[in-house]
Amino acid sequence: MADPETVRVARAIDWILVVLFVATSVLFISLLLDLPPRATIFPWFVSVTMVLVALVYTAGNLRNPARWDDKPAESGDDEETAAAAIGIVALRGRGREILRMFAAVYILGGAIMLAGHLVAVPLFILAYVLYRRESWVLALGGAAVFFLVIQFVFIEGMDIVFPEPMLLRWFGG
Amino acid sequence: MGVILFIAGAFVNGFYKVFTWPVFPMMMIGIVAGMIVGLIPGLGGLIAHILLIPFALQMDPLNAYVMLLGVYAVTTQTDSIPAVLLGVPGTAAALATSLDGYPMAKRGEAGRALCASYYASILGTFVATAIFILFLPGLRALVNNFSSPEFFMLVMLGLVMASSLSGKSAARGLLMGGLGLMISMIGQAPGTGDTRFAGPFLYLWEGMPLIPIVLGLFAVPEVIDLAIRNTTIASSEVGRKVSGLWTGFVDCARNWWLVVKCSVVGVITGFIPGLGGAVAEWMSYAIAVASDKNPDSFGKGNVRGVIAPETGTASHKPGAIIPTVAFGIPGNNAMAVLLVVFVIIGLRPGPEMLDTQLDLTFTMVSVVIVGNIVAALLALILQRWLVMLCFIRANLLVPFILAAMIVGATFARLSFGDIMVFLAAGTLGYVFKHADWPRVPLVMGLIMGRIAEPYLFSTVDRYNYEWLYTRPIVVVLIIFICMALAAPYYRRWRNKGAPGPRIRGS
Amino acid sequence: MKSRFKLALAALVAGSAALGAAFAPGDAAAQGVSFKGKTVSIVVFSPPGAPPDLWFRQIGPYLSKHLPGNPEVRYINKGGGGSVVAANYTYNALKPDGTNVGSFNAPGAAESVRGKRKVQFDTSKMSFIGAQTITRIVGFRGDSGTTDLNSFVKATKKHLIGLQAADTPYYEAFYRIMGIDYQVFSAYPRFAQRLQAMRTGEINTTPFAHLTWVQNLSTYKKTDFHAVYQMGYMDGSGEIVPVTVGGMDKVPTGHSIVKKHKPKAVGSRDWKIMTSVAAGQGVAREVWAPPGTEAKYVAAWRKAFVATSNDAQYKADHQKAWGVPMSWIPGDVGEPIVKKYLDMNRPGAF
Repeated sequence: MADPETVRVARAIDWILVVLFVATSVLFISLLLDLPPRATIFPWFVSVTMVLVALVYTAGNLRNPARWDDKPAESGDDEETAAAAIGIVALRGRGREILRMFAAVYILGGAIMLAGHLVAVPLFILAYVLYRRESWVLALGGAAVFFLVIQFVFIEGMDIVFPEPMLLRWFGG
Repeated sequence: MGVILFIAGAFVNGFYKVFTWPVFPMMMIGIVAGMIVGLIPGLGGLIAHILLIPFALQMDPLNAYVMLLGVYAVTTQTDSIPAVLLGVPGTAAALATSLDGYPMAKRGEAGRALCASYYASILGTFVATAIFILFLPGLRALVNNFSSPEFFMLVMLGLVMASSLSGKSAARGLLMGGLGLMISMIGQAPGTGDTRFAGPFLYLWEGMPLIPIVLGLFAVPEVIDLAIRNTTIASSEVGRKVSGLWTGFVDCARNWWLVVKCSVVGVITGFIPGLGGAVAEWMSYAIAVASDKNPDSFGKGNVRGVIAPETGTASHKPGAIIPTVAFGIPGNNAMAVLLVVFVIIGLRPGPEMLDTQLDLTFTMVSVVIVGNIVAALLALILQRWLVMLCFIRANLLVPFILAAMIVGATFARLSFGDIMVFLAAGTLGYVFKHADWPRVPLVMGLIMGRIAEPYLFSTVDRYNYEWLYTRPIVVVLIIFICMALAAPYYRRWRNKGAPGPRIRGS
Repeated sequence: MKSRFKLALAALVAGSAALGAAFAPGDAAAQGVSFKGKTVSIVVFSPPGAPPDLWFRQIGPYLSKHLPGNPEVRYINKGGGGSVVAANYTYNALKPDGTNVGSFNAPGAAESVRGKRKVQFDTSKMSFIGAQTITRIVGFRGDSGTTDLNSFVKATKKHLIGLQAADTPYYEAFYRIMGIDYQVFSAYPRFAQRLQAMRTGEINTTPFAHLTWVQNLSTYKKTDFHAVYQMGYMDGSGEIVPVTVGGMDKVPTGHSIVKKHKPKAVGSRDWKIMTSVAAGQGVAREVWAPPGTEAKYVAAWRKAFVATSNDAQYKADHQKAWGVPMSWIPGDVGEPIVKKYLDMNRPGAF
């Protein structure tokens, strides 16, 4: 069985999610009031059902709080699959690394918005591979491949028009 | 009997035409183009079609049909490659395949999973074609009985099946399905055109984009976990030989009955216009889970979880061609685009496509069959190298997957909004994955909501609430929905306390 | 470099067979304007593969031929929002250097004067290049009891009309004038769904784009569909007139029916509502240059569209693809029509 701390965190996340679901439904319902009734049949049906199901779910949780707690890996699972697939247990002690990875993902997204796909994506690959202390050749090669694919296959070949980067919009060009 | 002979004769004629000059090379061009774009997450067949349309407009109609259908036939076959190898479903269609395919790849069985998916595709199209030849007249009558109420109920059935069968708890599944439906309502209301829930963002007028959400929800958590583990995707060296040619075949042969069942689902959902491949795929997956002795093994690398959705999607394709050409009503989104192009080239959709022009219709269906086989062969050759991806260190693999995904996500609207949606979905996806809230129903809700709402709107407008009990097909579908809702509880009761079927990691 | 790469890619995916026609050289003479070696962009108001997109993709190579310097043409798809997304994009994101034009449809343009939605464009600051006429032919199921004008006027059975949201006011006003019992179903997301509803009898009448109707005439006849009236379009004189291609001259406009059978309603509020929708059909698919585009470039674009519409090969292609000849309203003819149409759609116009 997972340790009490993990169980507590897992249950807290579960509660937060349920509250979020209900809050979203209520928000939707409040937004429905301004709309003509004809546009709201389906949203009413869905939002109200959501609230009802959330109540049923909450009742079940209150009756038996332990019912969704993480179980230890089953005998048939090999370790990696189990660790990747099963709940919060797998994440214990890895918080910092998880945050670092999310930071990487968000930095990539932000960089693309600032500098555009053509610049940001190759730079990200270069930076990531070097940060992980892999070889220069791979970093440069990978960056070059992405640059070439974006420029010549997507932009020139397929005439795909990527959104204009913010930097270009702010400083003209 | 005479009817079946006529249909079979038309099939032979149509099939033969595929191998004539220059039809065959034109089809091959389409297949190769389709395979290439299928590999790139987020691109899908539409881009390949758009690239080829200028040429198609200049060509002899038959050549143009087969070239474009060549693309149509294979994109959902190659999109299972990144889905299985990297856990990156580039299209909604590849999602179900990745649920069990990716865990198999992690076990070092990528080759087996991919081969099983190819065989499933091939068998699915064959069975689907056979069903057509035998049941075409009956299917015609079925389509004529599908009005808005039936469409609505069928879509709801698909959603409820996905919700109640995935995850530990039916309630969690339904809540996630509901969330998906709510997200699907963002944008303009069908019928009135009022903008709902979009706030001041023009981006949201068009609704939430599907692909950035799918990539974010499913692929981002996999990539982050892979980076944190910092191993290779495949944790075992067993499958390094990677072919899996024979085991994949044995898997399919052993599950022949599943293939037949899923093909029937594919044919029917394909034939009923407007439903799209996602319904076929998830109904097939649900059938595989529901009919398995050990439903708990799904989501952990059960090969049946690869075979079922691939069969469903593949058999759906020939099914979708027929309503498109016969009634001018596209069976799915890809066919909607093709229909317009076909009409421009000179096709006139109409009942004669099932009569005097039946051999042309069957040529089109044959392209899908042959395309699947050819693509499987080409993919097998390619696979030798592709599977190596599973044995590359995470440090090297992660930035490339991440970059490819984010570029793929931007293809949705070519707007930075795509990236923001992708990031938000990725963050939520990570929480959902590790809190064990099933993500499949959310995606299903998102897809189905858009189809269902206009039908509900028209239904209530047209029939008030009488349709709920006066229309036989609706009543049957309602019974099915109740059964799908009750299934997890029935199973738990039967297994005396054991949890209901669940698709873990979904 | 660019075109060479394009060629290589094209060869990869489709062989080089069709390239000759697509990149055919054309007349390069023009007064002070040349796009030689440049790429021009057209913003298309639909997603790739939808009819407007294919229409623009078909006209692209001919525009290249008739624009001075024979530039490459590329397409930027900005679908959605009833074409307001494309209009906003054209107005705000395109550089007015003469190489860019955008498209949107008439209801999209009308949004700019209604001021209801989040509109970020102003047609009065843009330059009108021209528009394609597309009107509606209204088809009826045989079992609706309405198969021609006579039975329409005397209709006793309720008409169940499948519609797209934007055109709804026209039909409601028309039915109010005619005093025929009707109900509108406007939730079908696409034409395909409306067609299925027509086939199953869920609705018994729906409008078809006149191109679609003419294209599928034989099939629709067999399916027992009948063209009873059309919306028509506004010509330069301000009259609502019928489209005449493909035998459609025999299908009367809603306006002519009202004039003949309910003459008292002419000039009424409902009549004005009908006119405010029908007026947009003549300039249904509009092409505009972003604000600030120099007049010489606007003139070059206008000329290229007109030259294309007179191009024998294009005429044949258009006829083959869409079943009717291209009906292009040139910029100078269309400008007053667009102005009238927009004035009619201002809040408080009726």
